[in-house]
Amino acid sequence: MAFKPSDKRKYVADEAELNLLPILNMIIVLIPLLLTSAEWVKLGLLETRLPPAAAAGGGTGAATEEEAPLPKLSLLVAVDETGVAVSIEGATSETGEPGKYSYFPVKDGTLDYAAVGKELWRIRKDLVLPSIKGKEQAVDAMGKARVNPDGSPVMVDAYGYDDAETVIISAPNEMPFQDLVKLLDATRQFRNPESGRTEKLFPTPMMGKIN
Amino acid sequence: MAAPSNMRKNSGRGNKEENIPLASMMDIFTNMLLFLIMSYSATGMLVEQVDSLELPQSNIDTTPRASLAIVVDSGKLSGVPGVYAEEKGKRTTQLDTGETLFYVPTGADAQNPDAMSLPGLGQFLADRAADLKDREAQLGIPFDGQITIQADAFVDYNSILKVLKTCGDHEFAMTQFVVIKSE
Repeated sequence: MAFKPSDKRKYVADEAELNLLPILNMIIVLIPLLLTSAEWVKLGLLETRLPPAAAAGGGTGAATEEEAPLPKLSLLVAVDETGVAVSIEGATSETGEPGKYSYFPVKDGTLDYAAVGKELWRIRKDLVLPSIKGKEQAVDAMGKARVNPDGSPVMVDAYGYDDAETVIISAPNEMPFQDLVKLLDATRQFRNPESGRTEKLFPTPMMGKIN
Repeated sequence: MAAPSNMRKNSGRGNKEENIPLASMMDIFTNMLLFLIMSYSATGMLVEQVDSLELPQSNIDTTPRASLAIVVDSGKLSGVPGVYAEEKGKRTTQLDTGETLFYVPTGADAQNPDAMSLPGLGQFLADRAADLKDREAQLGIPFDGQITIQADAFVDYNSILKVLKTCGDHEFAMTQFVVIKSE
């Protein structure tokens, strides 16, 4: 006589399934929300200053009238059809003062932005950084003292030069804006291959024209 | 006894729960969610890029701020060069034509400071400066002289200088150009 098969053998355990519907609902709500607030093109702002003659008041330092005027670095980056010249303190190709005038010819049809950045870093490292005397309150382009959201003053390095963060740019009339922006990038910061760090250079460009 | 009809035999099918496989859908949604979180901006788009304008690329890392905005178009993509007022990513009025924008003063005109100014833009800025100063007096919102410029990557240096000079002459000394951030 055959035995009746056991009930246990008939029982097949159900596979436990996670209930994904609440998560799915949440994701379906989140996706349109994030789609509307996504930034597809990352935009930035490049601040510039006016040519010295046209700038109304202002100044980079917070020096008062009683104090003796600080010396000027007068850093100039002048572009022409054949290359770019970097000079300080009014040095020219004629004066040829070593360390004060450098010229970088056009390389492969474009300006040698890397060489310009390297030269500007040399000027900042050798002349500007050693001139720091302490800290002082920052002022904006309108000459107003800058303060933090909590009301405390914004403190910046007090340089020994009046225009220690300024670079004057001169370029040919037909130079496209994209090339100018590349030049401004090269004058603002420098990727130091020795330390691997991005070094600050001259973040305040003043654009003018030298006839 | 009559055999049950085929319809009755099959009617049990409808009661059986059929699960849609959600795992693959969840994978897609999770990837989308991560991608969108990466491109999420808490502040939203304070500055919108104007159509038919190729902005220059820069490695700058500052974030845009909302302020009075103008567009300087070389006409390379739009075909209509000039200076425009801008609002919410759209050009509103043409302030100066391409002819005025691209004019390079030469000879005796090179010494004339007015030759480097844009009259339409100047008038617009003078009006806006007066409005913003009124707002400062009435509401206490400070007039900071900020102006945001969306300039085409192909606009020439002479035109950029003209725009900057005109802004400076009309109390907008804090000029900022919109660029596309690149790595």
